[in-house]
Amino acid sequence: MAAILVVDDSTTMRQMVAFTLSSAGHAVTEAPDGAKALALARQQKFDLVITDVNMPGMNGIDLVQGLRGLPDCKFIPILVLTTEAGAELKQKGRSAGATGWIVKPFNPEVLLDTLKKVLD
Amino acid sequence: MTTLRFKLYAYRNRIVPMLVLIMVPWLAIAAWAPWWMLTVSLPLLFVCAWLLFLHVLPTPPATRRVTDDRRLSDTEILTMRKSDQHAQELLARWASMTHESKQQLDEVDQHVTEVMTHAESAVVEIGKRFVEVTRKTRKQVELAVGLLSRTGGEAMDDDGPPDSLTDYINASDALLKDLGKQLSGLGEQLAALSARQEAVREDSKRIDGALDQLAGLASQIRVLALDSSRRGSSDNRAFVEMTDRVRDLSLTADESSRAIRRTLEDIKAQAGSTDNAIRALAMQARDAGRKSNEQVTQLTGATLGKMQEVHAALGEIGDLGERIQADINQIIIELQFQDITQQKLQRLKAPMLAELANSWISMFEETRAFNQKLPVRAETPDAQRAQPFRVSRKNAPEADKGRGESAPQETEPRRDDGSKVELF
Repeated sequence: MAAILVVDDSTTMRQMVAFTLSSAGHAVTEAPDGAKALALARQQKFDLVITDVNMPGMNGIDLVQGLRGLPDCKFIPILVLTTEAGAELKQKGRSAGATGWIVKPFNPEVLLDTLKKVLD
Repeated sequence: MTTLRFKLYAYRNRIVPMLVLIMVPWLAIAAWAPWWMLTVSLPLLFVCAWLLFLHVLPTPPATRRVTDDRRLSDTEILTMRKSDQHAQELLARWASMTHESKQQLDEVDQHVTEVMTHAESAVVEIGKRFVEVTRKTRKQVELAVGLLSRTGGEAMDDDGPPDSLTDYINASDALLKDLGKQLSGLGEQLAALSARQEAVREDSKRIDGALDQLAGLASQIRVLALDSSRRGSSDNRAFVEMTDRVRDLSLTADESSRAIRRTLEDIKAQAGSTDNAIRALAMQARDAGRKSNEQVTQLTGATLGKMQEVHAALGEIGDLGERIQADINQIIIELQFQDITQQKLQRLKAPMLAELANSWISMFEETRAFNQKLPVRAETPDAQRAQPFRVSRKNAPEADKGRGESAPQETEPRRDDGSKVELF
């Protein structure tokens, strides 16, 4: 069981990811935007972070950069879950420190397999 | 005449430069051309210029027409012609703007329709999936319940194999009880056999005693024989005494032999009875074993069949579980599609509507500025009717207030395309 932080401005999407991860036995914490996610990451230690890109305020790429600046999040896996599939944006995410890029809509089985891979 | 006057008015600032330009070639050749040529060409030059002015130069748009109001001056008519031209341009821009707005609204409408279609299909799909999940779950439960008790607790048929695990357990229990009862009977019979064996042992002891007695008699007879041979001839009385003793011994031996015979008959009878009991016991044990074997074979076969059935049912339950999981995954994907489409529409809606609103505000400002630039004579009712556009007080509260003022700079909208307004 892993402690996972899910960041997405869409409540539906957040709950969908949380449902999938909770069903697999993970402990899920939700955040509606990048700023709140950063605040949570400062207070609590997570094993993995899943974030959207297009969010109000701080976007996902900036969040990845911010998380990589925190000592507890320097080496944890960070997955980007977004509708964007452009190569340029992917490269930006990679440069910011993202571990993986998943394009929405996600298949729960694929998401769990990816989680298993990055957590192992 | 009117055309000539309007032309003169329209080109009043250009007549002198035009004449100078026409005179340039004449002046250029004036130095070396003969005097008579210069004299003839000069009036011809003016005639050509006059013809050029009348027939080649375009007539200005503000030329007075038959329908023009005679009370208006030429300047006013020209100003109105210019205003009319601006109004036409403004109308064209309004038409273009309306067309673009319609296209954008059509696009929005198309996206909204698309979203609604997506949402509708997603809801239908989710509903179907939920029905499927419910159906499969119900089937799982039915399979599990049927696995535990297919006959619903009905009594098992005596001849047939058990139909459910409950029946199987009941049959096993009955078989084991039956076996226990039979083993208990066998135990009792064995106890009876043991008692009979004890009686035989007692009879054997009695035979041993009789045999000991017979051995003692034989010993006494041997002693008497030796004693009689030693004293045979000397003492007649002793011989009689010895004879009596032999007779007594003989009687005792006879009694012992009869006792032994009786005992042997008892033993024979006991042996026969024991043999019969053992035969009956063996037959009973054989019957019980055969019956138990048959029942165990039947139960084992039924159990194996039931195990296969259980295996198949569990496999089906597992398959149904996997299919339920797949349905739930599909539901999650459908919900995501709906959410993604909704987000896209949200992102599309705001800038498109803002752009549309800005365009309309810009056009409104241009129109208002145009209205403000109309002549002051527009205060008359006729002129008011002639104004091409009037904005409502609701949409432009500043419009009527600012009428007649020079420029609407203080009411500039938030968009920075004031240059369009400045064109007027």
